[in-house]
Amino acid sequence: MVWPFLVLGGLTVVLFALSLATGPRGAPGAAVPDLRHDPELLRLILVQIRLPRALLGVMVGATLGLSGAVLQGFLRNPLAEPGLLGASSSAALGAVIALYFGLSALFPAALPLAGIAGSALGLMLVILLARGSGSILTLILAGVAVNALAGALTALALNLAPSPYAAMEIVFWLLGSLADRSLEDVGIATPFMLAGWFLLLRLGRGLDALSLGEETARSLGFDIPRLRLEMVLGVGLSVGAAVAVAGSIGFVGLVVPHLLRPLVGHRPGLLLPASALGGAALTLAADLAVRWFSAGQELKLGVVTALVGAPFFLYLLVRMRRVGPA
Amino acid sequence: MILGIWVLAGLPGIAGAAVTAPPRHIVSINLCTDALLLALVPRSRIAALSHLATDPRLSPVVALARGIPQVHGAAEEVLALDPDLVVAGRYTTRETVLLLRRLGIDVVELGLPTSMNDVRRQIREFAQWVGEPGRGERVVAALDARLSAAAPDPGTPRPLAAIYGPNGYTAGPRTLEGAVLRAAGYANLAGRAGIETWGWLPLEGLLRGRPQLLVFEETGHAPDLAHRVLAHPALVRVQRSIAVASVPGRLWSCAGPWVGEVVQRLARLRQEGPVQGRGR
Amino acid sequence: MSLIQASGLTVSLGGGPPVLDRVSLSLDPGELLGLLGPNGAGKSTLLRALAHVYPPDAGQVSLDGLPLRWMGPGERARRIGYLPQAAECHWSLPSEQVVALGRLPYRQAWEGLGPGDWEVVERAMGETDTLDFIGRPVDALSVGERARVLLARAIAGEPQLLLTDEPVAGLDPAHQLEVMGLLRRLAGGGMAVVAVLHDLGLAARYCSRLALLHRGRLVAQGSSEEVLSAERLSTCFRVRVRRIDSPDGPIVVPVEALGRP
Repeated sequence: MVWPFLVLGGLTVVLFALSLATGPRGAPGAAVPDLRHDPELLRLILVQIRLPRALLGVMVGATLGLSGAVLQGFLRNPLAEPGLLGASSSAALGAVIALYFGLSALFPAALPLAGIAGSALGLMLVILLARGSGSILTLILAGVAVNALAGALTALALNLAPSPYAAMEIVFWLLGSLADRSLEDVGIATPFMLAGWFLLLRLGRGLDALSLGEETARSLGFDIPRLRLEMVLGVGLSVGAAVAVAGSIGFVGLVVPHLLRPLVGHRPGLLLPASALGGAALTLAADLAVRWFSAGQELKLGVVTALVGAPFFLYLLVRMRRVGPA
Repeated sequence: MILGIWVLAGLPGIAGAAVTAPPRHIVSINLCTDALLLALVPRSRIAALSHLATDPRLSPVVALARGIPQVHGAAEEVLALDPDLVVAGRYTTRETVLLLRRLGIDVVELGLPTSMNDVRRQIREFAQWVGEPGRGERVVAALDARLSAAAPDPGTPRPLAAIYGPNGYTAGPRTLEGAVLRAAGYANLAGRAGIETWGWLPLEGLLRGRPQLLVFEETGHAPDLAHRVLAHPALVRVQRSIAVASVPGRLWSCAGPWVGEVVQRLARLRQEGPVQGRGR
Repeated sequence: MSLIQASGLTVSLGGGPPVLDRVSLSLDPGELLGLLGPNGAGKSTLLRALAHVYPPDAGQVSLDGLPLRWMGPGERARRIGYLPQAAECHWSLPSEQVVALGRLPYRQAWEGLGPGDWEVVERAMGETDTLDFIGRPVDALSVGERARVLLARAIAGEPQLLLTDEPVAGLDPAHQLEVMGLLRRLAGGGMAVVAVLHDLGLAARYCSRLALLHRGRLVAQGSSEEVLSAERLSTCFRVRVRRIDSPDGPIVVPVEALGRP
């Protein structure tokens, strides 16, 4: 059972290196001196521009993959992910309020903290709404409701914001981007993402037990309410911080656990670290695609993940309908 | 009533028509026409300006515009003022312009200037429309004087400059900003990067181009994402070793005499030392 | 003293009458207790209270003299095996992995299963006749096969007390008899087993003791003759039964549904 991890880890490393080696499209052509002759500029670009981008690709991707795997394991539902369940859009709402109304200028950590608060609240709301019913339909509808609410409030906030650019920037919050991030962004988000990962990775045993249903899991010694709390906190912390610096990137948390599940023998516990690696790899790959295909305007990362993820989601739905209600 | 007579007198209600007697109740529903109006026409003949004329972020003529009534550009408001000429921009709301014309009002439209020649032409054309050709010539002459003071010596290499604004926006040669840069004696990084009009220059592209002058467009300080790239550590670090100028966006978004001010300011940076052309 | 002692167990949901009303019972190792009662009598609730899956509102359960609520969750999990009604596995795990989940209370956070664990798993699968399913995904099995795998999971925990809710529902007659025989064997081997059953005949033949629940109250406990008396059956189940003693054990068959009292 080790080889999937080796392959995923190796893939992530390779994509990380590729990301460092790739510039944005539209960089000046003929008149640009070869960077090798200017080590200082090279270092500036590598360390201050490309490194944060690659690092965030890994961390945000791992967060999305891991959260998706945890949500799917807890809800026993292969269609769960932070984007569909409103965790991302609620995080965006929190971050927007903090950024455009000056809170993050007061102290930088306000941005990820607001994202975290939004994310946790949104997720709790979805879980409350879908409580008791294990059906996919109820869960997705609850997610639709929270997404709609969070989206509308975000648009409203941007409209009311003092900056004239705000209303157009909703595209970033809805579709995400890693372009021109700085090490400062990495710095404010990383502690919270790591804290979230710490909480989430420990849930593996509980998720394994939950395969047998909530009652059996309780009889095996697991405190399900506490598990749920740790999950909400973990997803809230990691997704909240990720969205605060990179916007809302969808479908990674849906696609990655689903693809990797057969490779780990369908075991929810093993799926967690695998999805973290897989999510990192997928996000890095998508960010590379963004740079290779960007023409005039910057292509947002969420566009690429949606182009991959939405058809995948439709395929999942169709397959489920054919197999019959779960 | 009077309106109807002018129309019947054979004035086509479309752009570019010259009025036989200078209009006395001019309404402007566009920021650039506001500014030109104030530069060329005595205040008594201005019936109203657009509400942007006193917006300190956008208007080059805020102080001059105070005290003159304002409209938001709706056809009703304009009609109520009974104008004999309405001046608008080519990108003013189409519905409003068409409606006003259908109601028999004379509407002229100002285009988007993309070169210094455009600027001169617009000033002259506008002066014709409002019946102040002489004043128009004087404004153009003053502008030309500034431009020639700013012009570089032929044969000296042009230092490379880049315009950088929120969201990594840059302006290429075929824009007013680009024309200003050229008139001030600089080469434009955007042009070298293949951006002809307006476009997005990624941060790395900006750094790799190694401009000698970075021109920031100042657009106010409300927090948003657009300004984050301007505070990026890499950009901050680079500013320690190159010249930096900050130009308020309102000074080069409309054709008019204020453009000459910007040209001179930027040229001074080149002429008085901080920016030297390198052999390129 | 009995191994398991439950006293005064009461569970009420909301404002209505209690689902369980001061139920007390005790169980010794080696006993297979059949828990009977009509639908809604509270059998599953009693089982959950005994397993401490949902602790009762009043009363307590002790194992070896130690109240369950004082035990750590890990110890409870090692001593008590619980198999709910219509148990299922949500993911397409291979059968032996499902059974291996029974060893979770014996594993620390990052540990995998040791060779000792796998021996227990194999033994549990052997006893439930599910060794053939090793490597096969559990959702590819039939209902009956899956039920046996899930029972193997409960046994793999090596519990002192095994609580199963309708362990033979959905099984064909052969497997019904085999599972009941297995439960009796497990009891014979020293486990205490409680099984909620709907089949009066199976209960009479295999269980060493029966308990009858009616509207949350324990109305009878004891041998099948005592519990399955004609008047009890007509009151609680509203049926008339025919009882036949045969070399294979007592045969109890409902023959007529009685009207409402």
